[in-house]
Amino acid sequence: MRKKMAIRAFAASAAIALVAAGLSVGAIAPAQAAAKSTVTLLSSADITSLNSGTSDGNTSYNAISGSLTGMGFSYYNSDAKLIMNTKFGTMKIVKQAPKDFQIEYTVTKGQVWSDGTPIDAVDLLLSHIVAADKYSKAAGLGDPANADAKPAFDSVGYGGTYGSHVVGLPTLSADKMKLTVKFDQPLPDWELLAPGPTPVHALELIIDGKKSLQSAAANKAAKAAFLKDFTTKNTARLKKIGALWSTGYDVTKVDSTTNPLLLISNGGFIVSKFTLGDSMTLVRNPKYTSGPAMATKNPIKTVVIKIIKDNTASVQALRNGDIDIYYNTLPTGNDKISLSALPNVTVLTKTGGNYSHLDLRVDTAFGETDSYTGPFAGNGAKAKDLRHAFLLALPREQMVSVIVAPVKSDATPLDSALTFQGTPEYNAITKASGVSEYSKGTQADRTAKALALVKKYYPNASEDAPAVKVNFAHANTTTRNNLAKLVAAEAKKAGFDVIDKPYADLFGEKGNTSAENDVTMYGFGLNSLSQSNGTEIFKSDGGNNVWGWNDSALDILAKSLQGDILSAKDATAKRLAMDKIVNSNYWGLPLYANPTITAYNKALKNIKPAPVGANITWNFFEWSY
Amino acid sequence: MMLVIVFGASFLAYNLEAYSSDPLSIFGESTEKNKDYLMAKMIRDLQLDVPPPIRYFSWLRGIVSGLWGHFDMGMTRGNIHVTSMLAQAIPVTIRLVITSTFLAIILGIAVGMITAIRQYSRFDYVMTFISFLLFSLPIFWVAVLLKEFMAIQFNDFLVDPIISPSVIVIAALIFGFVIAGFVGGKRIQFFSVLAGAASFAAVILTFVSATKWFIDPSLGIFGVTFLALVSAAIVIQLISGLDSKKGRFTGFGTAIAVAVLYYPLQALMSANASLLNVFAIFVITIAVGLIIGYFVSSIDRRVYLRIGFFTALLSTVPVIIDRFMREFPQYMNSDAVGGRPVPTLGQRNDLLTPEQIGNFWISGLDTSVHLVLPTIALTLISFAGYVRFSRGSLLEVLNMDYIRTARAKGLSERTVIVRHGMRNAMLPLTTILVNDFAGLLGGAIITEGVFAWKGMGQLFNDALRSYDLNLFMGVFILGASLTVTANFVSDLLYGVVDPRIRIRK
Repeated sequence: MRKKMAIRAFAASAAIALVAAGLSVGAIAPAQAAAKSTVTLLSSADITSLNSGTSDGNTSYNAISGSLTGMGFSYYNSDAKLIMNTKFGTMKIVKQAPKDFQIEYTVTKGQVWSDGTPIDAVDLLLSHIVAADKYSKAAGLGDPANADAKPAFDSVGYGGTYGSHVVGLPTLSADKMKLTVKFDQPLPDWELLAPGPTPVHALELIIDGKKSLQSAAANKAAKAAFLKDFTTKNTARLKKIGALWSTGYDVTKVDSTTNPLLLISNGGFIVSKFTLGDSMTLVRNPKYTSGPAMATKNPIKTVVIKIIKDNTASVQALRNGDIDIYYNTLPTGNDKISLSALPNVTVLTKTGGNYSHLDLRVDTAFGETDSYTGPFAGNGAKAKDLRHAFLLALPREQMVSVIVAPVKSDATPLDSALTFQGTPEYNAITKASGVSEYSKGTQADRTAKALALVKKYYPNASEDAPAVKVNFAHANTTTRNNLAKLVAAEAKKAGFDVIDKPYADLFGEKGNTSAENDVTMYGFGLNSLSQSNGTEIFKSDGGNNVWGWNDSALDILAKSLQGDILSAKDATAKRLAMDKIVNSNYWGLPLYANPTITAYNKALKNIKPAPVGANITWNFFEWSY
Repeated sequence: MMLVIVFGASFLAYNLEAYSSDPLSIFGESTEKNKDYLMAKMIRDLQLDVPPPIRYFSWLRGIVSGLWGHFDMGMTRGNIHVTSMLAQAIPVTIRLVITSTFLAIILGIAVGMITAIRQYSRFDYVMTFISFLLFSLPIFWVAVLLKEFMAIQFNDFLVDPIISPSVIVIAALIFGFVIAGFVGGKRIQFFSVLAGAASFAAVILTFVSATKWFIDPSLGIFGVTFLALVSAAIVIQLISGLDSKKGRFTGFGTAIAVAVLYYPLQALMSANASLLNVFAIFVITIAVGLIIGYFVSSIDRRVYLRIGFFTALLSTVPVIIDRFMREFPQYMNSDAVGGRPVPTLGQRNDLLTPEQIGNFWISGLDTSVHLVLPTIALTLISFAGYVRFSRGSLLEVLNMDYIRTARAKGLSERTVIVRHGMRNAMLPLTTILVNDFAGLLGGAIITEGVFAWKGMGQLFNDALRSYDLNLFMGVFILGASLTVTANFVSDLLYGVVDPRIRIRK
């Protein structure tokens, strides 16, 4: 009995000890609200490299830090407008002939890299190496198109407009502040081809084994050495630089032991700490002059990019103040609700650069062998009427109200794939392109019209006896499946029997190109806004045209948008003409622009997300508390 | 045999992963101008034109080359050696799961064994209910709740850390019920314990609220002494029993000695201390404990040395914790923390200045607050399994004939349970423990995800999502080898701990 009591006494005292976490009275520290000067951003995927020109696929995440550490000739603002950054430099066309098109880039004097080395046009030359396939071949750095071996510079820039049209080497002016590049034809999107600056002296120094910042004289010599290597096409040295450029910036961490030459920047910030998959810390670049001046009152001194892949976790982190800016390009209505409920944040919704579209197959997709013979095949009156009917019965307003409106309450269906929603050009084009037919009246009216069209060929068609069988391919995701249900229900009223075909991997299983599928629905992303935007979708041999669309008049318009330098007015006229053809052929309809959602600490000022480009960080210089 | 299993498993895994997804599909929605080049480049870089079963062998070549010193797990798609990715992720995972695993094992086994001893008591029913409840909770949901209440709401509370009287009453009653259930006994005893424990808790909570202890915590000499005495009581009861006079003398003597050393030891705990200092403190106190144990005893010396050792070890912990606590106000009010000390995620605060990181106590505090939530979440989830397993195991042993024999020959109940019961109940647990430790490196995919820790689990997840075959195989081969090895080790270990099993020569 005594023992039992002892055990109990011991048990009780042990338990009490858990609460009695000791006692002593201390002074109460006053809570203070010091002026904050740090911003913690969310990145929902890993930052994998300090050089966003190389790594596969996810360059948009590396671009977050890239836009903080590097400034070039231009950037996109929150209205998706390309802004010329004259603090860095200017560009102009100096010659415009059918086979001789020259652009002169002038670097503004007086700028320096973060190590004090002056910035000049020599720093632009690396851009030529990593974009011009011809240079890579001529300098013995490998043919980028070779399927067996990587070129010395493992760049994502090869095979593009710059590489296919550039002629010879760019020429430097005597004071090395101007660079002239020659192309073999006028290029409408020449402003987007501007070379970006790279601290080439640092590359030279690192391949020579230097591990710390060097003197001004050594930097100058290194830059001269790069110019020499570039002009003489010194294969051995360029190969070393290529290896460094391709893999040397792919680091797992940055700390005090990291070679500071790798971190040289001309942007507002310099990387100071980085752990792969965890976070990156950037501090102010005191020598920053390559872009608009930083805010004068309470500007940001430190930026942390925190990698959080779990969406709920990021929302809670924002609430707790662990992050200051939350950004989501694929938000749901629930995200909007939970973010709006947070007391300490401002929520912004915007139209993003990505949009969803629904398209009808009219012919066999390019490169496919099974020929397409479905109800929409060809350009006969019946096929056209059926396509017209299907599009009329497409409940776009309902789709928007279910998917987009919970995030962005004033969203409307997207009416053109050729221009950005909300701009004056967009309004002008959609008013006249014939697309307004799909928003006139109520959906019931339009569906009735659709049924009438179907009845022309199938007099007995009705909701209960659908006459036209249609295979509908889309990705097997919640959003797409919900949309598909809406489409099928409405189309049934117009006499269509929609067979829903969700694909786990729409593109991998060739669901989008298969001749079995009459209708497809997916998204397109925009990384830049150019004159030729969207033309590849509608051109008969366009890389994105997988529905067999073919119209010679449209091809001429598309070619002109891709290859002629047009005034804004002419470009708009051609886009309008293209959209008219698309709509009169009943090829398909854009559905909606995906909304984006930004939520940030209320105390922060001037957070203005941009739909394309560097999204959140493009205007870091305006941020303040 | 082990090699064959690892080989077969890795071949299967490689091919399953390679065939299960198509990395080129990301170009479906791309409108890049040089899409064709980018696709050709991906085919070249990932050797997508080589059938996976053949590609497997080019991967295997790098592993086999390890035999002659050219071990190569290949590069990730981000151009980083898989080995260095693993080297970075392994410590992260270990840091995340080690504390919770130990906590879950110790608490789980302790609670499980107590419930077995008090089978069908109120305590047993309550713990059975709780462990089944925890067992069935999804961790991502537990994490969301923990973050809401223990981080967000707690940080809000810290702005004005006053506990309202109603909360004090409710919390005290809950505490009283838990303790009363734990102690058990007749109805009158149950209610007297309840009343005692509840009023004690109420006093403590009122005190904590009145002094705003949460924003300026410390244990002080009284708290340290009290906790040291309690640890001594636990150690004595487990090793010799509280009725052993020499045991009491050694245990409580050591506890008082540690309390006396509280002030002198502060000299070793300056701002620029390091882990070495902490180690030195433990060496000093343990030496004191051992000396006391040595001089107290004449026969059965090992028992008293053990009491001295464990008492010193346990009662030094509050001394160290107290030192960390005293740094708390400074940490909490720093610019980096901004008055919200409990983070919802991450491994460390990226905004701490180099001086703050240089201060062992501040950086230690920072690491600890980041570990609080994930550790609680993981402990809650895995604790239940150990409770059920050890309860069943001890019950089985207690029904054995030799336990009856031990009781019949007049051994004290403490000796019967601790020496004959618990020890044998631990045997079947060894297999589970060894495998659990091998599984540690597999990481905790979901937990790492919700708390944003880039450990092995997230590495695996990322590899799967981004079609990073080399990285995927790196994580896989490590996990597979560890599992196979752990199985082998637990077989061997069984032979060592269980005298009935001997490996045949």
